[in-house]
Amino acid sequence: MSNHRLRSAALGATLLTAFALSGPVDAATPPNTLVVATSIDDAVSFDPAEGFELTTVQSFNNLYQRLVRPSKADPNKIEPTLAESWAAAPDGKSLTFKLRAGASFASGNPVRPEDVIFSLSRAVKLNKSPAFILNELGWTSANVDGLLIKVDESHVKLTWPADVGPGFALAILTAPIASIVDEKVATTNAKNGDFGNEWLKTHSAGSGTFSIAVYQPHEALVFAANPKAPLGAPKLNQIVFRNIPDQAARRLLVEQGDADIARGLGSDQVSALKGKPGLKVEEIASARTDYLRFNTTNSANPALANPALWEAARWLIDYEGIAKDLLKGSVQVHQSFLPEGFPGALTDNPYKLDIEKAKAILAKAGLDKGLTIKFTVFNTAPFTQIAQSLQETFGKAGITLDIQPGVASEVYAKGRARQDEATWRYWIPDYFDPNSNASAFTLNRGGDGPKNAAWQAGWVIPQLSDKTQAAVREQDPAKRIQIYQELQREVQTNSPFIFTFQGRDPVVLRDNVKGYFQGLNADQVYYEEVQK
Amino acid sequence: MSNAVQPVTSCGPKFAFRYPSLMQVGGVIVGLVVFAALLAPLVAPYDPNAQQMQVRLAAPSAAHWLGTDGFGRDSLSRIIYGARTTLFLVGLIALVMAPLGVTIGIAAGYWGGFVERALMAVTDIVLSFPRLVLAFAFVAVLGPGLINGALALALTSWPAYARQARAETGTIRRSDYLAAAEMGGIRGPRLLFGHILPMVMPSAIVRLALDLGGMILAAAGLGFLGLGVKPPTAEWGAMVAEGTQVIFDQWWVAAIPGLAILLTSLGFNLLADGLRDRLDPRHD
Amino acid sequence: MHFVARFLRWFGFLALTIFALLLVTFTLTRLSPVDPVLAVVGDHASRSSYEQARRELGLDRSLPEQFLVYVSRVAQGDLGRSSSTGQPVRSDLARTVPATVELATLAILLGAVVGVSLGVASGLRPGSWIDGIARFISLFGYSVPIFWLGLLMLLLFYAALHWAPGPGRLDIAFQYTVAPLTGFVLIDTWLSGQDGAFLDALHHLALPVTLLAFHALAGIARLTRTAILNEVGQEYTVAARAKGASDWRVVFSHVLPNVAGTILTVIALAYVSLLEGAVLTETVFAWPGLGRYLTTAMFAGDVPAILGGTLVIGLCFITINSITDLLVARLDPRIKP
Repeated sequence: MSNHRLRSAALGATLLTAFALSGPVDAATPPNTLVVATSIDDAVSFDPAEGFELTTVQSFNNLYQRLVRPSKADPNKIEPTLAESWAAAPDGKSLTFKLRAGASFASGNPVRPEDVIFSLSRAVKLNKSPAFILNELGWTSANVDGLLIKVDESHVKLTWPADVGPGFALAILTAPIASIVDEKVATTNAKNGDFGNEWLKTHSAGSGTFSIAVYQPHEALVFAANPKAPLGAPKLNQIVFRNIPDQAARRLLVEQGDADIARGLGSDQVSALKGKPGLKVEEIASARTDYLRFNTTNSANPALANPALWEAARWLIDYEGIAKDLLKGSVQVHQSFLPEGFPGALTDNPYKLDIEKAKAILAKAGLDKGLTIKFTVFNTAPFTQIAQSLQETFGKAGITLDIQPGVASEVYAKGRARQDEATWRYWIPDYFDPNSNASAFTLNRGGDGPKNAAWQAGWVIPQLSDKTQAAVREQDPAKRIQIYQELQREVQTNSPFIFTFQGRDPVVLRDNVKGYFQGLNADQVYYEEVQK
Repeated sequence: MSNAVQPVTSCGPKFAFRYPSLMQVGGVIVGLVVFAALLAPLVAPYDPNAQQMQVRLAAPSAAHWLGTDGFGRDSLSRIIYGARTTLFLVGLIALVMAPLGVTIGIAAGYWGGFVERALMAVTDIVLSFPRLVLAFAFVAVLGPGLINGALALALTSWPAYARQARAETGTIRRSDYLAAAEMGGIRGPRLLFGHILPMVMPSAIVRLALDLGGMILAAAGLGFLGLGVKPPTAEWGAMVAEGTQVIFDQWWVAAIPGLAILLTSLGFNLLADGLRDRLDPRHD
Repeated sequence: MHFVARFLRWFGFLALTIFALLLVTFTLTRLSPVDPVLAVVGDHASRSSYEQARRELGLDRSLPEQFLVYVSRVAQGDLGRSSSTGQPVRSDLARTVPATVELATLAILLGAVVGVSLGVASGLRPGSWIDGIARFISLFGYSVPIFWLGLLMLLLFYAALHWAPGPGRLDIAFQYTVAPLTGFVLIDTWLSGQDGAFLDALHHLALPVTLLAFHALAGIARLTRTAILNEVGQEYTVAARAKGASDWRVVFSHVLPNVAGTILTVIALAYVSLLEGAVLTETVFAWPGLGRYLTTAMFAGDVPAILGGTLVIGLCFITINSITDLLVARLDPRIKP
């Protein structure tokens, strides 16, 4: 039967062709091109007035410049970027910036005071997710036009109605939303009065060391060098961010030399790469803090409002086991709401896993009769892993955690409707100032509230709120630090928040890659000096 | 829509079955799975949820025959308890899907006319839906969990049963047997469930048996995408997903639960084949 | 029934089915605990940003009104804006659907050729070694979890043997130099005329196509075998053989024409189920197609993207199914609707 032979030959031939085509894969990235294996699935908008996701926030420092930025060496110092210098008015309610002489955008257009005014006012008027950062200065779409004034061809004066000092205002201006956009390019591409928002979602118009050359959502992002960058042209011609959603695949790419940098690897991949020849593994402390929160307003479960439960829970988390064994160093134990590296952060960690102690506290409060708590967590690693560790240790003290995994927007919605019981969350500061965290955790006078973290916990704290607001007004740095330390201690010892970890962002680089810099805050990723 | 085109909603193989030993192999596999599920607390060497961080991702050894997972939990114990999850899920799907489909089918076949056309239009519409994707979307939107997952698969899988039951009822409708029953004063639900149902049961059971292997795969797919059970419940698909993170270093963490899915599904398929040959020799 | 009348009936049913699918997808969104506004603005945004986004999404209107708006928008091809890519769902789908269609089409071609050959061979010689192999492959194909098999293939051919390239559709060297004219990577690389680009694309397709083809051929081989077995027992084939016609002749001039309709239906069903199977395999192979788009959307709670993707797969299902029904009716005069 020729029929049989023919058919098996056909099957064999197809499989053989398929694999013969797949010769050994050569492992080298093109010269002058940096290949970054990462996930860009989160990217929504590369418009600095809108982008609020990790991928876009980590891009803004390379595509745009702000007037000022935190120094790479010491993030507590602010250094000039697009501004050359600045002066505060005697009343502490305005700043006048002198723009860098000869600075121009990637388009070749010079940077003018008009561009600064356009960028800040469009961000306020578009009123997208990060707009609340500029709202801190009291800028609203109604008043912002009158508060940003061109002084002359190289000076611009920014005034704010909010009761905050110039130090705080400068901190706000280091946020990605304060990036300076090329007004002429943005206006050319504007549609229906959107200030170029639709176009800027996928393009760039800044003065950063790179500009967006190609952007294919969910596939790849390519930055091209900007030879006209005010800081000087970068050493690389282009950076290619390849979207590799699977962490294991990402790891393999950098291991085999198909990528120069791999970001966002899971803790197990990172620990497998440590000590491998040709690779450098860096774990860079980030400003992300993880915390457990109880919703004290949940009437179905009154124990949640009992400070004894909060106290017992502090002793029911296997801090060391999670940080060292489960997550292999991708977090470090940190028990206060300001991350290490922020001015005034408390770095002592008074709590550890002590089940007997927790049991005693629960028994004293009459909470030892068995307690079930619904535990809302994000449905992604490492949160589901952390949740299962807590489930185990809480279980040993008679508290059943019923894990409810959900997508982020569902978890957020439950929190804002105060429908959760306990939840595991993380916080990344929106700008480099302690107030970004304090205004989330120690500011809540009850009522309808701003729906921040303290409000979602139902933790009504008028006195701490006064203190939090006094700290923003305080001009003496030493006194400010003291207030923030008192606030942290209060949250650490007596609040429905249990701060647990600070993130460490793993970055794996081929050992010929030099000059990569990443700072504490999420936006502080700089490719400007990278070479290979 | 032509009825001669028989849509393939069953995933079981329909080869004529000539080696009885294969059916026995299937029976043994299914028996083992049922045994493991029923006696899980007795046969599992460890508590499936007990974490031991010091022995995370251990290779198979004398202490842990199939190694440990990312929390240092014993993989063998989780596979054994996972059999419970799988059987529960599959049982739930079967209990919703088959009765729903058969009821709609015999109602349509018995009453005929407008009722039949309306019910069959709904059946055809649901039949045209992308079953798996709709189930995934259903769970993704409504939240993960055993019940949601089972419901999602059941609510999109019943039409094949309805079509089959309708066709058979249509034949019985014209039989002397039924005419005799009606003359005896038996009508309505009593006639439907007392006289028609027993006649359409055998083929529905065969179809169900053939469907079970596919249901196991679909349920595992839900788990793999993270849409199945809540932690810490052991579920094979979710165990494969957890193992993918370390597949290049500790391949067995993902490979072993996958093998459990394969063997169980194979067992059901082999058993169903044999069953079909005995109960319904006129198969296609 | 007259062909025109049949076509009209078919078309009416198609419209009804699509409407039902829309109703189901819309109901799912409204039942969802996911807040679509928070999916857009995140948890830090101010109340005024939240309200603004809510109005932009049209969520301040009544439910029937929202459904009408939804249906009329879908009719105009507007599927809303994805909250996880920030892009209109339609342009996301325009990018991802070709990648999946390319994969599924190549897989069905390979799977149909191999599957039908296997089925014919084993149907003609039941009980032979080839029949044994075919049945083993079918059983295995039915029982194996496809996502797991994909993982093992990746482990073996990429990580261990280095035969297959890494994830994605093209190597980095070609990814940005080949213009995405059609969205089909084989056509685009061919048109680009670049040395090696076409081969590179084939190279990347090999592993996922083989996996999906295997998935498809299990069903095709089994049902082809059953169809052939039924025909071979019929008098006319026995008669033809008795007259000394060769197996080849019997198969091509007598058996195949009679089972063509059945085989076509089976292949069509395998094709639509490949579109579904893509949801599980594209995640494994990081294939930037519809399946991965859907899974990403599911994890981001991106309701417009989930529904848009489901709707497109549903439309493919409905269309392919109904076209097959029509074709089969034309091919086989014995079938009367």
